[in-house]
Amino acid sequence: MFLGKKTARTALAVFCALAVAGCGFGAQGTKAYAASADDPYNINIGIGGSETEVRFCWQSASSKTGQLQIAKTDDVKSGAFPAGSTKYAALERVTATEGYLDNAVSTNTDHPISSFKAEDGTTALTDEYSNKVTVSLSANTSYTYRVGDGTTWSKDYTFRTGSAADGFTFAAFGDPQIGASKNVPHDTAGWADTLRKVTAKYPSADFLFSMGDQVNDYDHVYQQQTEYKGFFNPIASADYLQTHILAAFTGNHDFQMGKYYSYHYNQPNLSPLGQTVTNNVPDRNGDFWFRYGNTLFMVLEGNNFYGVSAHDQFMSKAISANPGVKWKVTAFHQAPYSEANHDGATSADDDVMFIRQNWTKLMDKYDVDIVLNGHDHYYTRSYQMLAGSPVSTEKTQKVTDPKGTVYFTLDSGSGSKYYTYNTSQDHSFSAFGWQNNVPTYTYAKVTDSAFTLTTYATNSDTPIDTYTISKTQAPASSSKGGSGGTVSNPASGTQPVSTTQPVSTVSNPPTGDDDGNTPVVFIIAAGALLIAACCVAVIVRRKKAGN
Amino acid sequence: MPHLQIKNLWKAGAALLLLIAYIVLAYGLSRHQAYYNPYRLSGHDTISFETAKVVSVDSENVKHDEKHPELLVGSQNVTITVLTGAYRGKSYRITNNLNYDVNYYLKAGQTAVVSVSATGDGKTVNINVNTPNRTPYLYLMAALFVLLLCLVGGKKGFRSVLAIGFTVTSVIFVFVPLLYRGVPPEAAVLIFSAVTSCVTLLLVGGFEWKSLIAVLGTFGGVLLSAGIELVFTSLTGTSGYTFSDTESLLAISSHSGLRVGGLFFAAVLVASLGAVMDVAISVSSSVNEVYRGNPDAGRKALFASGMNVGRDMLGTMANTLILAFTGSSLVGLIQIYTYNMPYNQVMNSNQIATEIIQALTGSFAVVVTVPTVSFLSAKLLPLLAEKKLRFRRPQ
Repeated sequence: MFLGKKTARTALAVFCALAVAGCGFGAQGTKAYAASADDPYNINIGIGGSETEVRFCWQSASSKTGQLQIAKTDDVKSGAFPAGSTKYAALERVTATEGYLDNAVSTNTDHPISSFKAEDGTTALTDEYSNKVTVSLSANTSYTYRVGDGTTWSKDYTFRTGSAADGFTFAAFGDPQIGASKNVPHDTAGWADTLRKVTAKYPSADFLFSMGDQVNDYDHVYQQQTEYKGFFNPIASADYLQTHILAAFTGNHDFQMGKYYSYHYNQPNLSPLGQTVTNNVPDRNGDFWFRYGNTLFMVLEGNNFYGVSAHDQFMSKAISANPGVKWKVTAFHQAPYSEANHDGATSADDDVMFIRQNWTKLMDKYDVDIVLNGHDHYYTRSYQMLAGSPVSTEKTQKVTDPKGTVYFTLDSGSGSKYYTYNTSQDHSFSAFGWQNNVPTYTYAKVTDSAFTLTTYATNSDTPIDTYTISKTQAPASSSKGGSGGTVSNPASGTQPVSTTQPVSTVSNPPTGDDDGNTPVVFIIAAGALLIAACCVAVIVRRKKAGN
Repeated sequence: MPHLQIKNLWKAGAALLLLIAYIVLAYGLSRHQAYYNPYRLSGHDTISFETAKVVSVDSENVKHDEKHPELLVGSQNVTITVLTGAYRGKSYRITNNLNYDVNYYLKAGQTAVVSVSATGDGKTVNINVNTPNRTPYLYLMAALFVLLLCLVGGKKGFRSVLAIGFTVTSVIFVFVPLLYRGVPPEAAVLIFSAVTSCVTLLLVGGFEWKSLIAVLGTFGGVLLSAGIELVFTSLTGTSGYTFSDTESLLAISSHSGLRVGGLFFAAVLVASLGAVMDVAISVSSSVNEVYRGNPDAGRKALFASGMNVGRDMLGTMANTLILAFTGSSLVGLIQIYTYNMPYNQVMNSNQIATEIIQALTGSFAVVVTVPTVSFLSAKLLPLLAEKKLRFRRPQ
């Protein structure tokens, strides 16, 4: 009303925005979009604790409390939001930690963004503010929203809430890791391409699920800022993450700037359990859970790999808060069972091997059906694993009422970086591995009776791999483990051990037909020994002759 | 001469004290606050690695693996008592899984190292077998070695023990911290080589001219091979960035002074330092013997005697380095053989290329050290020893 679209697009947009600031609520109901320093960015619709909750998060340079205007799309008439559609955000000044040698201002602790330098090394960065709003919505309904600070608004976005009435679907990605190729435009282009293909092929997917390492750099805040913007808005012509619900968590790259990660997502049921600590400041990146229909998703903070008992306690609480779920899915960044595991098993401090040795016992204890991981940018599907061994090494893509847990390591979602097969380690856990240096995504379809995960490369409609777990039985009624008393121990002897299916013959990777057992090498070895004996004999003879 | 022995004991004690003082000082000065400490958990949660005693094996379901019969796979339920740390004295029933990744078959009465993870409220405790308790045997092995070294080597053996103690301390508490704090690896390794060769060679060879010549020769050999290495690392494009686990180094270097690029150079020189010292002291010792036996021997003769001893050593020393390389990369060699890996892939790979550069740089260093030390000995020994010998000759 006060501002026409045309005016808003003028170069004086900032001035105009300030001019209407005094109008306050008068601006409600107007559709004004202007390029302003106070523009909200990194807008994302985070997954809620249930399918009818969504959790918004965005950043802005504006220190004013953020607002979300949201209404059913049908109720937004000619760009005007109805009365009562405004929700106020929880506002926080963003802080971060930067490598101390790179920045004299930051002495290894938590600082506002204006404490850090821009790329030129002299200019201070502009302070960032984070806004979070959580709303309850109706299932299976189209909503239109915009966010802003009451003066400067984003454009209007429309998304559809999902429904778990007849099961649900989601698409998962391994590390998009924008910036890993040292070429942010390349990585954002790859990420945009994956999002375009996924949302075109599966427009009704209920949410998107990223396995950590959304960004790459941990040296400079200005660089990670660029990468976050690339992750949330990889392409100007589309608004994938403003119009699709996203679940995402930390990887070993995101978490290294202290609390900075926590300002980018509005996680549901976030627990202080499992979070990491940077220079004595808790990073607020702890474990969190969400329930979608019949499935409980537990996201664990993989960077806190030594906090086994914290994750144990979190899982115990999450499971008792959600009785009767049909499926239990756990997601964390570092993959315990991957063909491209990239922390040498021989090193003294190996997070992957520690997770394999300790966390898998938690999956056994709580009967987790599926574990989703990233980190290795290489697709691996494990056998059903129990007590650290495959339940069976028969290659199959369908199991019914299986024992144990299947572990998926997802390949890169953006193509920013790939790892190769780790040739020097045991991969007898692996049922299927794949690396073609093409971005991939995994589409999951969940019903009460089946959980199917199908993985595609973005350059083909033929699946790379598909795996279905069918359940014919009711969910286990009692939680396993726990020796009673005050101390519960997942390793307390109540866990059934794979007795029917011992680890059988495993040949991975294939070693070919020739076992190398030819007599020739023995002949050569014998010859070498003979030569040695002859040398000795010659010396002895010469000595004797000399005497 | 009992009084001499007492004097020697005093000297030995003083040397030991000095070494201990050095270890304590180096340890104290090398402490640092980690930028990110994975062991400092949030909310008073704790992780520790404690020694535990296996009280009993309550039940087990293990069998020999079909593919690898030496491995037992399955699971054991054991009762353990934690012997150290905050949970000392408490007993737990735990499951010990035996698989391809973790395979430590437990017997009642033995000790093991367990990871003890606890939440801040103490309500959740997870105890898992981490490794067997190996340190008692490692210390036993080290003690036996020291004993044997002293028995066979006598006074020299004892001095070698001191030298080993000095070298190990210098690596862990000085060399590595220097790298962490941002000293260029090239400089750090040269400082380390100079100091280590000085201390080791003077301790082993005694405070004599031949030891000093060996030190000079060692340093000369290291410098020359460093030059050769610089040329070939730049030609082959190998550096600290082509190590197999560079990624973890990159993360560390973001939060510390660590300079990744020069690490490879440093690693290669450290690996060859031992062999170079070995050759240097052998050559200078033998030239010294020849000179003492025949003080009138000309410099040419002395040089030739050094070269003769050196030549004998060259073949075996170069072999030593190649064999050390074989030992350390045996797994890789087996893989190459197994998969019939293509020549072009193997020879140009980071792993093999860096190993070859490492082995050859060491061999280069050994080879150039022989004439260097022979030359230095032949030139310097007569000059330096002149006074002493003149004094001795009338006796």
